[in-house]
Amino acid sequence: MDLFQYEILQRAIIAGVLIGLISPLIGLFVVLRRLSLLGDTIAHVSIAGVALGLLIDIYPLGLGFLFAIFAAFAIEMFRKYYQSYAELSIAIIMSGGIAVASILFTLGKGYNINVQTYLFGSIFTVSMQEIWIILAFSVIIVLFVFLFYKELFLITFDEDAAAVGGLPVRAINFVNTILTAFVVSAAIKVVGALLVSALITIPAAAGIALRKGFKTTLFWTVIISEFAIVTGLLISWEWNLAPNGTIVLLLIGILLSIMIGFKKART
Amino acid sequence: MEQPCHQDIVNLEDVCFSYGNHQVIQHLNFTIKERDFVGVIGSNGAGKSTLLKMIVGLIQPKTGRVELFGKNSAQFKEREKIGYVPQKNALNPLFPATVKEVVLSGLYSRKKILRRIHKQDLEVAQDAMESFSIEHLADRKIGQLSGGQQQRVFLARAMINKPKLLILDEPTVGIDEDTQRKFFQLIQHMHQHHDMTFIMVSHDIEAMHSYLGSKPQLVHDQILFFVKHSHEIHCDEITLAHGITS
Ligand SMILES: Nc1ncnc2c1ncn2[C@@H]1O[C@H](COP(=O)(O)OP(=O)(O)OP(=O)(O)O)[C@@H](O)[C@H]1O
Ligand SMILES: [Mg+2]
Ligand SMILES: [Zn+2]
Ligand SMILES: [Zn+2]
Repeated sequence: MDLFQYEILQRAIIAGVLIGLISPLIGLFVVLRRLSLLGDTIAHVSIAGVALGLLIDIYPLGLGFLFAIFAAFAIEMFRKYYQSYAELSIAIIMSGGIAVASILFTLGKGYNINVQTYLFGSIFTVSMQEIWIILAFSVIIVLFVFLFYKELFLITFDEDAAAVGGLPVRAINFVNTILTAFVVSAAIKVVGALLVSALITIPAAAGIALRKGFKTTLFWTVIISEFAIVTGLLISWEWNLAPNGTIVLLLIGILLSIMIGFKKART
Repeated sequence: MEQPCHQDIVNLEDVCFSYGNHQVIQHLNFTIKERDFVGVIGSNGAGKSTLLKMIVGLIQPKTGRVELFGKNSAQFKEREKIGYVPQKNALNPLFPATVKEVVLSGLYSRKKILRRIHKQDLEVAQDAMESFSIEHLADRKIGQLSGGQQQRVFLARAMINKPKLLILDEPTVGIDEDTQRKFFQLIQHMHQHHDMTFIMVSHDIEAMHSYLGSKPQLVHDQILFFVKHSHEIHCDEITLAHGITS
């Protein structure tokens, strides 16, 4: 491996490790709030932003990020309106995002190759500047989860009890949704918009399947995610496979082994 | 004899509540003083749970005022003074939380934001679990417990802060008879010696009558309020440890 190639792999692994940390950190709370499709929805809207960026020639991931934040706001707004039918707000925003993206894509014919990069990710082209942005996002997210761990736990477990205790439930849920937009924007580069949701939900699903307490689950969720991303990157590098597909298949493999392991243990 | 130290804990002034145009509570006036034990009895659908939710601030009255500790409920910030056990907890059996984590979460009120969990918090959680004989379940997952065991966990969580005001919505449903009796003894003790005020909804009319007498202080539509006042002073340091042991 020459020096140039080594640098590419190194950058990919740094970006991967950061995203492997923040996706499950936010993802576990998102999944337990029964908003598993939140990441997917934000990603679809974000792709509309990317399409606009490609069309008018402005940094696509930047516009994608703005659209992601907008989607997060819109989802929270609809969520407040429909209260317990949270998934309804998700369905509305998701279809809106796809509608806008498809129109913009057809307007900008000829960008198809570029579009693919964002739909499927391209971690081996991640730039140093993008790594700095992902690092900044990661610092914000890790700080948030560290500082508000107790409150996040209680709000996720029992929103009424949190409200009776005087916790700012709406504000914390809101920040959580906004930070999901951060994760999505960071992860689009790695796995692409189509598979962002996998990084947010599958480690959480695998962690929950371990049937442990909350802290332990959060810990294992991060470990599973990091393991799949780093191993996936190395395998795909070595055998020239699509990194995003490799990572997601590894995640699903881990999830299935945990589930089968528990089934065996019971019988 | 009414002493000046007995402040108003809950004050309902001409409170009305409706779900859509379904009137549930109409023009209710009621004051609960420090060290009152208020038993609330009424038929299904009478509005008891609705009333408790309004007192803890989960829902707002359409008209009228709810005051807690003399302050308008929306402005009342010392939320750790209130313990609340709702009628039933919609618990997802897969939720990854241990009994210990759930009991400890009773401490996570507004006051604790940005504070770390200390060793003494863990000791308090241990006390609370011992009070309800669930310390051996500490590391079990909450979703894997029986209904009655889960209810004990939620009672322990509500008691952990030693709240000034404890609000219980049918707390003993699903709990075995022995534990029920001991639970009544515990809350009676807390009422008489530990400066606590209680609001409790129950369909156990016999138990309510035997502690609160058979004459309601107020009958409002289909809801009956029984009140007993305690003058006794603290017998010891406030701990939960002399709780239910089986
Ligand atoms: N979320 C809701 N939306 C609409 N109506 C409701 C809601 N919750 C309760 N109600 C109605 O309000 C009335 C009072 O309900 P509430 O739960 O306060 O009764 P309750 O006295 O606690 O009864 P129970 O003894 O069965 O617990 C009932 O007629 C009920 O149908
Ligand atoms: Mg009720
Ligand atoms: Zn008195
Ligand atoms: Zn005592």
